[in-house]
Amino acid sequence: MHEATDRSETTELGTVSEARLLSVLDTAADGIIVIDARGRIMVFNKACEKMFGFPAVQVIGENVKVVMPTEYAVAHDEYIGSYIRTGEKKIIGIGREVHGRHADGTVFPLELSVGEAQTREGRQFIGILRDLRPRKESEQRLAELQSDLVHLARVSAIDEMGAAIAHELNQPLTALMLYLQAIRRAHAKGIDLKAMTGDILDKATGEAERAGHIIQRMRQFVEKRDPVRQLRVLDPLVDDAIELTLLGQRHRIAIGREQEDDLPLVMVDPVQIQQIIVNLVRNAIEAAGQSKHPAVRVATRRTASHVVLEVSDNGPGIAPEALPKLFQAFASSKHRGMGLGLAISRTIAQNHGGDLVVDPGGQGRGACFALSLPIRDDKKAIETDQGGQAHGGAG
Amino acid sequence: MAGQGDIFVVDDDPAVRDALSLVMSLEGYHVRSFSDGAAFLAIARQSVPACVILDVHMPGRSGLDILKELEADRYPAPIFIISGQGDIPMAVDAIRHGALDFIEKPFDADTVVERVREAIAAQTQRAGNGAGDLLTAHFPGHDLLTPREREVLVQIANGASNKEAGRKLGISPRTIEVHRARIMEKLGARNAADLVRIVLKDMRA
Repeated sequence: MHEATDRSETTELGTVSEARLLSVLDTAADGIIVIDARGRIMVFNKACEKMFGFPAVQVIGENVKVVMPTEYAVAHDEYIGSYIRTGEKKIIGIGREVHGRHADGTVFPLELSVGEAQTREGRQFIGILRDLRPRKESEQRLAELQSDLVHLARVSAIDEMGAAIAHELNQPLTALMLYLQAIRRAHAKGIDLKAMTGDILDKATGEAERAGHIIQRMRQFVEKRDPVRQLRVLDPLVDDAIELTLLGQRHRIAIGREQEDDLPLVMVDPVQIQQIIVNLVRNAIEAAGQSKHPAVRVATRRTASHVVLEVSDNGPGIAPEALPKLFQAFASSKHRGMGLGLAISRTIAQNHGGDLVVDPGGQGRGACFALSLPIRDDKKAIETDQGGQAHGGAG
Repeated sequence: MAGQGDIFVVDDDPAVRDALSLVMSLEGYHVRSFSDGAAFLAIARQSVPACVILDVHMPGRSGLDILKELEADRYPAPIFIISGQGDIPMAVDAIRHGALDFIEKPFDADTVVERVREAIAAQTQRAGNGAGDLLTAHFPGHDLLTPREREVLVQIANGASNKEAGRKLGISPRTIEVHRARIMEKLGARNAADLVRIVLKDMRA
């Protein structure tokens, strides 16, 4: 690029090269600014004009601070001075995310990489700039879509369990109705229930509360909410999720539960982690159902770096041909549901810095899914646990 | 009021069991309740109540298993299955296994009291009447039918509608339909007229 400045070039050739250079600069999609050792703008290409809202003629010769927000502008001259004195590179050849300031005063994120050139006019710095706003927007959009999808999978899980949950709601409603009608009928017949009335009404209230509790459980699970991170003990979350899963089962099954004492805390989104557990336990119950004496085991333990939750069953295991597609979305072998469960569960686990893996079993052994979540070291945990209730109502 | 007979209530849900027992007790029935199939089977084999109310969803032995073990199609007391909505296939299965009828949850006290009362009355009347001709007649396939199916067949052969047959036998018209389909399947009849022809032709012969 610097051939144009070579003294040995003919003037004619120099002009051609210079024209070519200008064309390259103005065609570039990225903003390009060249400054001299004192920070004065020498080149300000078309992309920069658009990005900052200044015409080149207005800023050429000005200090580059005109396109910086105050906090950079104040120190910029010192940065250049310091580099020229010490040769210590803080940005040159590295590139980093900074902020720029538009002519209208708007401050926006930029990716800046800086190169350096020795010319006969002295040292020059070349900055290549990319407006990060479109990327930030698409990142945010992606995060929103992912959160929607995770929510959708929860709704889908409840939907699949719908009939069984309706059954579970029918129990307290039936009892409640019978209790109230018993009083009504006794009254109509002129039977004096005396002290029993209070007792029956208490029982009826208890059944109404039971129905309310079931609905509350489901609502918390499907409620659309922003992802959070809270420092939590895993086991109570596990027990709650198992309870929710069992609500949705027609055939009740005992879940074997093992847990290590004093497991360290994990930084999690409680509802999302429960979503994984509900998913795994439902799958395990379904698989175990194919066995004569269905058994499902849920265990929590720790390794050096992770808290691990294992859900295993005594079903037939996972067929080798089903294994490659197991964690893929929409590849479910089941008739019901969207086939999102395991794909989303793994995504959630990975978003938590953990993972979800499977030991497929087979040949008389059931499958075992293991969810691992990194243990938070205490120092970090204290800093980040802003307002995270260790045992909040959200469980 | 007192001494209307024993009613056995089998439900794993303590609240439903308790509330149902309360309602039936207020009607003058003597209620015994069971939280699982094993306890119920042990007693039901020794003494026959006036009526049984059995939940189809239970851990361990389901209501269906209990019906099979009890050989419910020959059990002398009417058995009601209680089930949630959307369990119709299971309810149909229960009827095939000898349940008299099913009551959908959530049900109200009036419904269950009325259904139980009707079923007990029909059972008493049946015992008093003795068997109808068809119940003992030997048409082809006679042995394939359960006692209840034979009762339904009598009604059909007499030209009763599902509704009329249901009222006579203390069961719902929907349940009559289930029996009717089952009987036709067992006897190889294509429609009701066919059914009557198979049965009556043989009886005349």
